[in-house]
Amino acid sequence: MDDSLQIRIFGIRHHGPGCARSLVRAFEEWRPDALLIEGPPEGEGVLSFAADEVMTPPVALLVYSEEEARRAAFYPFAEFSPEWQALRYALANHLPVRFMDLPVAVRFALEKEEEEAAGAAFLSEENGDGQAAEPDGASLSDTSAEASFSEPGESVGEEETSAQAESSDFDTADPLDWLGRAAGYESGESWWNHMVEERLDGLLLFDAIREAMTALRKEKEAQRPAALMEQRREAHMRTCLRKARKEGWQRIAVVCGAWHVPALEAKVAAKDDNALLKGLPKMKVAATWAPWTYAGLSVRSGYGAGVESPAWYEHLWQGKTVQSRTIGWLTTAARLFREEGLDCSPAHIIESARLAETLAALRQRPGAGLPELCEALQTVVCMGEDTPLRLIERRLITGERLGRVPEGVPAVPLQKDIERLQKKLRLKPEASQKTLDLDLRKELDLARSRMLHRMNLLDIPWGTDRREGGGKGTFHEVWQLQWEPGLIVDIINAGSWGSTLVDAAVRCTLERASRADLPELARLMDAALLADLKDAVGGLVRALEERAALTTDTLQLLRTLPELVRVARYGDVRGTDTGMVLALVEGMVPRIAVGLHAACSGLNAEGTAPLMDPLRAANDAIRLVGREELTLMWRQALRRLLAEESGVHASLRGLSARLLFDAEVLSVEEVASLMGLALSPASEPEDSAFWISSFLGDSAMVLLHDDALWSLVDEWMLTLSDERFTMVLPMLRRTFTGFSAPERRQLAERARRGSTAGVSFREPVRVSVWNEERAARPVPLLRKILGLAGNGAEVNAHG
Amino acid sequence: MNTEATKDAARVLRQHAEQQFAEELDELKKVDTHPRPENWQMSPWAVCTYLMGGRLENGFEVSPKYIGSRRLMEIAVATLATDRALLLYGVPGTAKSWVSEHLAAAISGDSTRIIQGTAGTSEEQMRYGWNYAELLAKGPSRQALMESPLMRAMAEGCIARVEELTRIPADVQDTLITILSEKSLPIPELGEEVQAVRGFNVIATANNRDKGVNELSSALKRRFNTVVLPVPATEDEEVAIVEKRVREMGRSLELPAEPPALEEVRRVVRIFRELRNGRTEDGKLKVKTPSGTLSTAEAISVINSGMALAAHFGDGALRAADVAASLVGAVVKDPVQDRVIWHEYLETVMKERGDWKDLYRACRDVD
Repeated sequence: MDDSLQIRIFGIRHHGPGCARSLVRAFEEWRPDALLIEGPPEGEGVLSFAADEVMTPPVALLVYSEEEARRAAFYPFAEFSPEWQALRYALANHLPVRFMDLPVAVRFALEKEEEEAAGAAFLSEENGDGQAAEPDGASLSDTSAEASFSEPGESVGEEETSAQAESSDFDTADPLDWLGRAAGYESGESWWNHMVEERLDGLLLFDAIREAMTALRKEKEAQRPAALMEQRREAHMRTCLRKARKEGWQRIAVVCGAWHVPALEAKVAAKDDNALLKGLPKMKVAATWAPWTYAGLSVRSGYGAGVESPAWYEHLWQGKTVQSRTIGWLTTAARLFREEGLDCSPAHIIESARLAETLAALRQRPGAGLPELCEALQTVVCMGEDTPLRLIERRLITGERLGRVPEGVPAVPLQKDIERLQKKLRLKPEASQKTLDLDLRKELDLARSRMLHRMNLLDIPWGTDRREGGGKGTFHEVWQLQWEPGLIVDIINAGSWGSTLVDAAVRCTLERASRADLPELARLMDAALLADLKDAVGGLVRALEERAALTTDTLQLLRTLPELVRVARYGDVRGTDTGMVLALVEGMVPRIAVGLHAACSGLNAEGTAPLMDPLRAANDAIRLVGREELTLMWRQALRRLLAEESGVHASLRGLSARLLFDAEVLSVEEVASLMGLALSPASEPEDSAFWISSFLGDSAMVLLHDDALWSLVDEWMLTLSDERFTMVLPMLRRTFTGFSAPERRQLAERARRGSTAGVSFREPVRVSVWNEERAARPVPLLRKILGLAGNGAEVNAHG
Repeated sequence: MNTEATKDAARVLRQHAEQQFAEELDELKKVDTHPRPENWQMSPWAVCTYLMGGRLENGFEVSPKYIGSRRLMEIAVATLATDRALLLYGVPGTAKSWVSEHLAAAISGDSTRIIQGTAGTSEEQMRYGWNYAELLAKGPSRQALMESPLMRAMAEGCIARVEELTRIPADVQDTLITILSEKSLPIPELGEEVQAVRGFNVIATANNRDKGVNELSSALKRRFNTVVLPVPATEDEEVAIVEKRVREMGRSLELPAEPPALEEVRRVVRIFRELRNGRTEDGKLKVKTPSGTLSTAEAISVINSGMALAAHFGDGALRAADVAASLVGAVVKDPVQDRVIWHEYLETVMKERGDWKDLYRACRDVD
């Protein structure tokens, strides 16, 4: 096997600009006639799109299972990814390109088998929680990490499931970290950056990389042999290599993660490789291109082969000399600082550049790297603080580039489904803002509403629900639609949940439910019902039940209740079954009733403020449910709050007095005595003020029109002596200033009418004697103005 | 003469860094082959090694002076190598003065060009003063001029230190602007100036808590590179610092007590950290934060006075009771509020820890 003439293996690091640069140079020198790239063979079908002019990285090659679209693997490429440069080179020179990694079809199938085996074991001991979390396990981040081009960094322990963290440091750690630390660097990435990516030279680079990797792998495999999956992948790569050689090409360039170089060079018999690959299961998969973002390329997104700073790498890729690189980067940072309103003068940049270079010299590096530059900025511009730097981190370090793919690329399954629905429901994606008024009694509008709600659940914000707050009982929904190109990324992200809109929404909802607290769960429940996700409702109800049983936080229950009651009451407008929700409410009210007193006692004014609205809302909700036994329980619980000895803050006492008074549980006399007590001179003026203001509420309307309440307050006021009145006055003023001006005026007018005023509303209005003749005089003019025919006499007759 | 100097040095209560670590500095200079900026006693690389510690090529072990991030020290040294002044910033007790002293000792071999910033620091102390007898007798002349440490550092090309920069009145602070940007100090009375020789630079320290006292003008701020020295990141790091310092100080104070058990140090550090961070180390319980800074330096002094107690009044081994007295004193700075906070901590956190019973009881006894 004399490979050396025919085959050259270029070990690279994924998304390494230095590697990319050296690779391009090596290609130009060596002129290969065929290219093998470590990538999914399924992607070959859509490769030609990479030559399209519109195609702008970052983009990702997306391979997904056609049966289970949540199984998807993303292979991102940036402009500076060596693979991308290799691809572009091949396409420009019309060279054949092969992807040689183990087919994704096989990996998915293996993954599924494993999951099923694990799932069976898991289910037997765990409850639904684990199940709900499962889609996440195979979602974007994880799968893409696994399917990433096994950069030297992450390929090591990663084919193992992450749970096996018991092995020693060396096993799980990035082998580059190991080399880096040996060379006195903080991490493998900074070592690699310095040794490889930030250099401008180095055709011999690939030989050096190979040597380093060979040594590393030897050490590593002496401790622990490679995982089975890795062995299979490398066997497949070798098989591809053999095939390529048989096809008769003269100069085959192989581009793969540096970690695989030694394995590809190893002399392994073809039959051993075949034995490893024999009889592997397969799944049906499809491939397409998707626009990607720098954020998705960064290691922070959870992408296994991610890099620390895509923007820095782009800068490295474009930058020419070390000097101009430093200045260019710092100038960008200065601009961003200024945009954030922070001082950053050219003098700052000059000083930063000098410090960065001195630091680099001190660390014996040829030029300032990312850490030096960031440290210099922090020291010179930010007064040593790191907060300002964090402000611009996303834009400076990660970068905001969004890729583009040509129009003809096959659509992601979820995207296909959404497009199908858009066509079916005649909802065109338009860039301009559009308002849509839906009548839910119509079949089509109902379907549209469901679609929009489902998309919102998946965080694809195409439409905004314009209704504010209540009114969910109506048959109308108003949506504001605006299609933005960025939504496609959201769709692609959401694509990991499922291949159809319904599937994806259900799975996403259940996943979120597994982490949500009670009020959030209730909101999810509402959203799920609006989106008509029947499959999710059961899971949500179970989650709610569990969470409600376990919570010790009555306030949370209080907050959840109104939402649930609304769901139960109005759900049937949309034809959804809400019986389960009602059962849930029945279970919750007793819990609230029991815990209410404890939750309300021992609070100060500040602590009670967040309780007021939920209490009112819960009171309304329980009234709406209209179950005798629930109402009774609730009222008894409120009653326990009334007494001053209960240790409940005055404002809550006032509120519950009012709620019970409105419900006619407390008689006028009882309330009067409560009021007298609360406002008596012995109680703290502060408390009295709280009591009366929460008793009267924020609106004077009820006071104005509820005779019983009016006379209650009125009579109490009349019993006050002059002296007492002066003492109470400030508290009353405080309450009354909360009312609007017209309300106050009306109150005053009513009060002026005296104690009989309360009755006066019921008296028939006296018909005044009026001069008909005089009244008739303006009538012709009025008719003229209103454009009516006829004369005044007729009107008089009608009048 | 030399032996006398060493004897003198041995008798002083506290030695300067360049005296105490003279051997290390010598050894470092011997192996240092890296390029040196002009008038520096050693290369920036060697300065970093001196601060962070390490084994030299000839097998000599350099002890670490600063326990914490190497990057910060590199930034500090690089700053001094670029003729920008260095401002060390941080809460009290984060080793600012300590780092400043060692930097000056390593770079210039002399850490005594120091101006202590106080509310009463005057311009004369920053620039120069006059020997009035001389001035009256002979009129203004260089003989009558009394140089400030800063002026001397400029003339000699070494590092000057300004401690507690933010305590100095703002108008006096601004004297530094000319010195830092023009690198010269005019003497209008004589029509002369002192131009700084290469190697001159300024290390200032300032603390966060005093921020409001005399905030630096932005003109002055611009002339400093700021390095914020953080409180130790982890409990282990802090324990290491306290233990090391206590051992060193115990030696220099000649305390007959045996070095403290790691366990006792760890407990004190944990109490300090928990009160400082407002939560227990396991992150499960919230704790109120008292008004004091509770810095590492204070933890060190708690252990130290505990050791003194143990040595002179106890059996020589550091026990909970020895620590308790100074511990309470360090935490409770405000007799009303802090006492409440401390008691709450005692009852809710310390009491619950099974193996802390002795310390809990000792602390209760102190009250």
